[in-house]
Amino acid sequence: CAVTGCSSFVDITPQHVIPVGNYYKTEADIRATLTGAYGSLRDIYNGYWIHFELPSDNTQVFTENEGSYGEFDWLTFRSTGGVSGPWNQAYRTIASANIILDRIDGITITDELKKQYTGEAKFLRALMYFNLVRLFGNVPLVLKELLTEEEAYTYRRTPAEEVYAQIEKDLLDAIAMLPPKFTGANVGRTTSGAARSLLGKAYLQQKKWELAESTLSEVINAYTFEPDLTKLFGPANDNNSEVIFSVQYVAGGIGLGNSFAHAFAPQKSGTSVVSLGAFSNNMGTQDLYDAFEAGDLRKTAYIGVFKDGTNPKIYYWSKKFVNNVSVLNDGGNDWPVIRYADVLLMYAEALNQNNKTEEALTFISKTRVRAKLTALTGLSKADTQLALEKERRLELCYEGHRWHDLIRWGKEVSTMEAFQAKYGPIDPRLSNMSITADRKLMPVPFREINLNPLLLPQNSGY
Amino acid sequence: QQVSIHVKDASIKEVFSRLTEQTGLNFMADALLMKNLKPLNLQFSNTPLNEVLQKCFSGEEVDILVNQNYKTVVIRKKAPAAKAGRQQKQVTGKITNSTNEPLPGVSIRAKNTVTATVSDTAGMFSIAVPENDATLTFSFIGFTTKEVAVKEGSDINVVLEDQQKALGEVVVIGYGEQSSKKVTTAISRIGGSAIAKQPVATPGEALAALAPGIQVQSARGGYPGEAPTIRIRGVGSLGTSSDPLYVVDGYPLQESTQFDLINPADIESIELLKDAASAAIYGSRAANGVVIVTTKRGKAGKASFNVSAYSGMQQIAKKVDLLNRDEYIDYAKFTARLRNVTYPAVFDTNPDSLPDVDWQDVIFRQAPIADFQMSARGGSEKARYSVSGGYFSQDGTMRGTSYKRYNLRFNMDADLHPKLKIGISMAPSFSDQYRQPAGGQFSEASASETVGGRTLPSPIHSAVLMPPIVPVYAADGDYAQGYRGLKNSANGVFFQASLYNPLGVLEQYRNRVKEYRLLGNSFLEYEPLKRLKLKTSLGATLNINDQNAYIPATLANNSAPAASRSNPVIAQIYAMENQSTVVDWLWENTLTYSGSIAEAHHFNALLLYSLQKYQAKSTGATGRSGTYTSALLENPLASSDLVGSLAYSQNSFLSFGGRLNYDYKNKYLLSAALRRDGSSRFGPNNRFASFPSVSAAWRISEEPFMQAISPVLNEVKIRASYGETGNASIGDFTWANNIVPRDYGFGNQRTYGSAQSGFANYDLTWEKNRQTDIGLELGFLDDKYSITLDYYTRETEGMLFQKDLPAIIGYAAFYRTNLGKLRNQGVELNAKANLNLGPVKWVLEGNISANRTKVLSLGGPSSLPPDAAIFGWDNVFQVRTGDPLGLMYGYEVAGIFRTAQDLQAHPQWVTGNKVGDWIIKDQNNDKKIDENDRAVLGHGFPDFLYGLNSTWQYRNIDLSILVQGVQGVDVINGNVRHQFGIHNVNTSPEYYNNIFDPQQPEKNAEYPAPLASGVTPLNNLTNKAVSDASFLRLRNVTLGYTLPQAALRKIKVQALRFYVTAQNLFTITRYNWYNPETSVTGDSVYRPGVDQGTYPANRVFIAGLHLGF
Repeated sequence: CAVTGCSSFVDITPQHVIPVGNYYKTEADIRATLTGAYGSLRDIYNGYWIHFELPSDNTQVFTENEGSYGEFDWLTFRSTGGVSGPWNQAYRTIASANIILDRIDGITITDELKKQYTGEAKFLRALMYFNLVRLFGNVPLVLKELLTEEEAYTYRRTPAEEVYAQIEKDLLDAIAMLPPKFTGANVGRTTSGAARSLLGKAYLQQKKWELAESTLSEVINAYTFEPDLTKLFGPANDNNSEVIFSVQYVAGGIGLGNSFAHAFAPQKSGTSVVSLGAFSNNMGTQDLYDAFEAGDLRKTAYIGVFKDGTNPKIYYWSKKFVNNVSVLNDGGNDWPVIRYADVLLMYAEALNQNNKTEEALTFISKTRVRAKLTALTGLSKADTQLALEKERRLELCYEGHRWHDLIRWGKEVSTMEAFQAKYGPIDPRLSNMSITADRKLMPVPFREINLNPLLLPQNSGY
Repeated sequence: QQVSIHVKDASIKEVFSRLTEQTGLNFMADALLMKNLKPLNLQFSNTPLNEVLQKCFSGEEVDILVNQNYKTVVIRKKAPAAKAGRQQKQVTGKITNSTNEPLPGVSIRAKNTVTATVSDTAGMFSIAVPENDATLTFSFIGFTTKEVAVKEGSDINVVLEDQQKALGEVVVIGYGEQSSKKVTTAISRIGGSAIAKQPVATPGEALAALAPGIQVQSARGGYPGEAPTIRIRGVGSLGTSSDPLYVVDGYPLQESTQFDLINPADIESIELLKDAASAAIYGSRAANGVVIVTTKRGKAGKASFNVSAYSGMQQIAKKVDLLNRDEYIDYAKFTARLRNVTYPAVFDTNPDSLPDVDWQDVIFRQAPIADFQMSARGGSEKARYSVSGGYFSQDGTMRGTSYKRYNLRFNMDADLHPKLKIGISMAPSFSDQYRQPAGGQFSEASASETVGGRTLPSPIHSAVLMPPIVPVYAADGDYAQGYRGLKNSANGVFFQASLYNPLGVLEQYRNRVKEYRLLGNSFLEYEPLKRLKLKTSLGATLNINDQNAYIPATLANNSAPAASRSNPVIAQIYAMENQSTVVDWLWENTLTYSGSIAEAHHFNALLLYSLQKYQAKSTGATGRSGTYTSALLENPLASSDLVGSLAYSQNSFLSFGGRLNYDYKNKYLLSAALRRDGSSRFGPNNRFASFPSVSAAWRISEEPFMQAISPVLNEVKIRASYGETGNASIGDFTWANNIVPRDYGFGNQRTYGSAQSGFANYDLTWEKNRQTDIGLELGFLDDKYSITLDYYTRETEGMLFQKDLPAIIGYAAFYRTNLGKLRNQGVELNAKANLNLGPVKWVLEGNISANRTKVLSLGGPSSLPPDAAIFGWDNVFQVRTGDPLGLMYGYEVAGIFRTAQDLQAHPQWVTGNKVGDWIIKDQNNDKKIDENDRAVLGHGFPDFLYGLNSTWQYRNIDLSILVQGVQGVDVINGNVRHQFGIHNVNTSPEYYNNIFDPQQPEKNAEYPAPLASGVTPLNNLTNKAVSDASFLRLRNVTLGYTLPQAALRKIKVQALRFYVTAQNLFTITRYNWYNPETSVTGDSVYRPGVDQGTYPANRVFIAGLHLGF
């Protein structure tokens, strides 16, 4: 038997999965890929709190065995630890976006859809780079589908400014390409307003105050403020008028849920908070709870209190994300990436930095008044900044803003040192904290540097 | 032999029957002879049997042939003297064996005639043959058949060679058999009896210590039905499986797990093909050696029936030393003081009111083991059969685990025609296993043991940590656990959370795996020309795996910490039925020719062509939580929310090859083979590869100059081989990339989406193993003593690696590719002695082997990403080029910071230390302790392995022992991570008495204070948790008594033996936990030698009997 004659016997291909070579041929393929890119956000934002809130003074992991979250709580980030999650997941979404952007020209599609899909892909790519640049600083800027291994090894870390420049460019494109609103079965897709808000956020983080102000000013009137703060969260209030962009989770056992309820419910609470699996991984701190003024509706609307008998340990759990779901990882609460209150407060911060303090105070007051507090007037610029910092902390608690807000304000070291000094005596675990200026960035995953030494040097302090 | 008989007017049948009673012999006579006999009157007392028989047949010329081997006496008419003329002549002669003893009963046949006769008791024969061109064939069981040409004269003396003597044992090689003396490669043979006598569930377990070069590691001790990890000559691959290829009666099994269902009692022999040259004929998948299993087949002769049975008890071989109630309360108060926490007041007020539970006794038990076998074998010259059935039942020493196996085997061989043979084997088997998590952390057992992505508690680790003052059951009848028990304040919980009642898991969780398997194989062999054989065989394996699992609402675990009978968490119910079907068929064709030229050149040639195809499908249904109407319903159908699953797999192999064995006068031996294989598992560009091998041997002992010393040194053989073999143990279609679903919830509805998955590698090809072997075989005093020595070096190239890709690629984090180089080098020694000490026959066989593995290349990077040993102990294992595998990295403890002065005197952890912390050795002398101060603390692969097998036979008593040894290996004890006072869990006295107490800084202490910082038992591996795991185990002791023949005759059975066996009677080791052989990571080559919650080894006592009739 000749070699060639028989080789068909071993020439079998999988029948049950679609080979990549047969895909990306139609509009439906690109649309599904885009849906898949959104789908990857579910994983990213399911654990967003770990890297964006836990390091701050807002929340703590409160189990006896802090497991893999301790390093983020105690600011002892390790290159071999949990930093690989956000790195890998961001690039996973970026790869989907790049595949869409690279391949959309090769298919038959209407101009309108092509514009929309391109805008959405660019928004997602920008959002991912915004997360990456904040966590890691300089990161490889990949803007095309990587087809070979060799190619991947040529990438170095692009300076953060250039990453931000790309984010801005992508978002400006997205603003131009995306509609202001989606309805029906398209609710949850990103819009021009979302792109504009994210752009404002990116400007703000870079302290480009004037660009931030001008960009955000265009969002201020595009959304409406929900006057009843109890209607902001929970599956029943998904995609309410204040939502600008949120990650969509759907309960019902179809694999589209989140694990917030279990991660955030107090471990010792038995079944009093959730009916199964409570892990107290992201508990509000005493400091957060005490920061609310008397009469602030948010204190009870946003925070649940669980007292373990007379045990001095009190658990402050997030009512924003915990509702009683019956199945593990099947929560339906959406994760607000950007909501109107955030935009108002960002806008206020930009105004104040641009010396429009009085106008800034009117925006800060909006969330205060909604929480049944008095409006603020007549504060100095510096006091306004302090009021704004507090307002952001309280209004946006548990939503993953605090850590990078502190970094933007240059206060992450002083805040955490004060926190450690104040609570260290009653919580010996805080002696483990490693508070240095280097902590504003996390280490690039060891695995990545090990594979591609061009990613050296590591961020300082690791 | 003397007999007594007194009969009147008796028929010959009656006489025979009486004689049989007295002698145990069966009598046969020609029908014609008997027909003519008149009724007999016999009166004999203590008369020789022959005389009695002669009397019976007086008047006839008869030959009386006694064959003690077959217990038969044949009475036949004396062969008539050949008639003169007719070109015939009478040939007479004598037949003897090599020691000049006469051989009776040898059959003598004149070629090309119908004339035949047998030799008489004196070995004499007489036969008429044609005058010219006559050849006589002499054949007798156990001796080599001899042909002698009748030349001048009429007297022929023939010496028949004992088969054993002439050619040694016959060993099975790939696609054939060969005499061991002529083997040019490294093959070890293990006889079936050594396997059958061990009370084990899977045949692999019985191989331990029986041959050099094979490591059998029962990583999970006595887990019922659990197959051990088997490695031949080290770890062959970093990227994929290092399992050997199993070939059962010529059928290469696609999955090594299929070997586990073979009934050990059916095994005639197991051959280990260790070097590449011996294995090369299985080229494609033989890189990690080949295990050839030959099952028992029928032999011509009287049907023999065998029944054997044993039953016994098992217990865990060792209990771990843990604190009892009073000790625990002391300990809890002590650590509470150090941690400045309150403890339950009852510890002071009324400690005696608390329970004192030995949690090890709660989860472990004495468990029965039993085995029952029946077989019938026999047949005529033309058709031979072997039918056997077996039943094995083992309850686990850990509650909730058990294993049952049912086997049938039917082997049939028939000669349809002198030139046409047919053989059929059918072996259905069924196993039924109840599994429980064993291995892993208390809160989270190894994922492989739990279903549905749930994490269940590890019962063994939980039992070790569960404080003795927690009762087994709470007052309300629920399983008690720490958090529901004692409070240290009105509503506070004292005990470690997520420590769940282990009995609750064992009694409530169900994971039942039923395995149905049918291995069928048939062949047709045709011999169109003398010595040319054409054989075609067709076989198929059908495997059905049926799994049924259930997690009830009352089972407390991390997903439902408060679940109990009074608080069922309906949402966590999980009921699953899963079934996978595997069909694998093989069509194989061989053409062999064996011949010789001028009596000196012997050769044997083989051509081979085969096709094999594998198809698997797995379907399942899961009843999901939340929809049950009753928490008691355990079937998925109880859920209205059924979720299905479906998976496919398929692959195919195409192979052709050839082999030539040649020898000159059994002295110079040469063998060469070439096999070419293709497999669908590899990339379309690179599916085929060739695997050549060559081997040679020189039997120096056959040289004339050695004859002088041959009475002392009868065998000297040196051999050398080189060969290449392949490995294809990767999943199917790993070379391809594809599109997988990834959905999103637009508009609160599921929207179907997709994502790219995998990174294609169209060049993916065979992993290649190149092995050189040099061997020396010596036999002394007619093989009374024999020694085999081997040295090998084995390099694996193009390992089938799961290579990491930079994460920036996004859609794939790794891909399957060929890279790197790994070397195994080793020596093996096997020595055997057959000692005859008067009435005691003593066979002593020992082996020792050492293997060294070295990573030569990782295809670029100098190391692989590090692996954790257990949860919390990260970066322990790292594969580096130039290093052996299995190195354990961690910190070396140099003492404890007892005082403020100590803090000045020793380098501190980068973020600082305090009194009570461990002093860590500053390996790089940079005056600070950080990750760079890790050092090698141990290694997970042994330096050498040894085994000793000794059997004694004294009259009717036999005794055998089997000793297994593993030397120079370490184990990481992950069980003790939580035992140093920071968690309110139980501990061992060794820990309790050695925790640093700031109030007594001078007291001897090895472990840091509970609130230690820097390196602690909790956050890093240190040398304190690494233990020498070398061990010597008395693996098997068997004492048997065989009833004497005289007694057996009375009860009309052929053989009856009673025996008692102790398996794993004792183990000598420094390791202080359950089992030094353990590995929580199973057969991982990256993380060998880690223990945490693994199943202990069992000590087994059985009593049994064999009955043959």
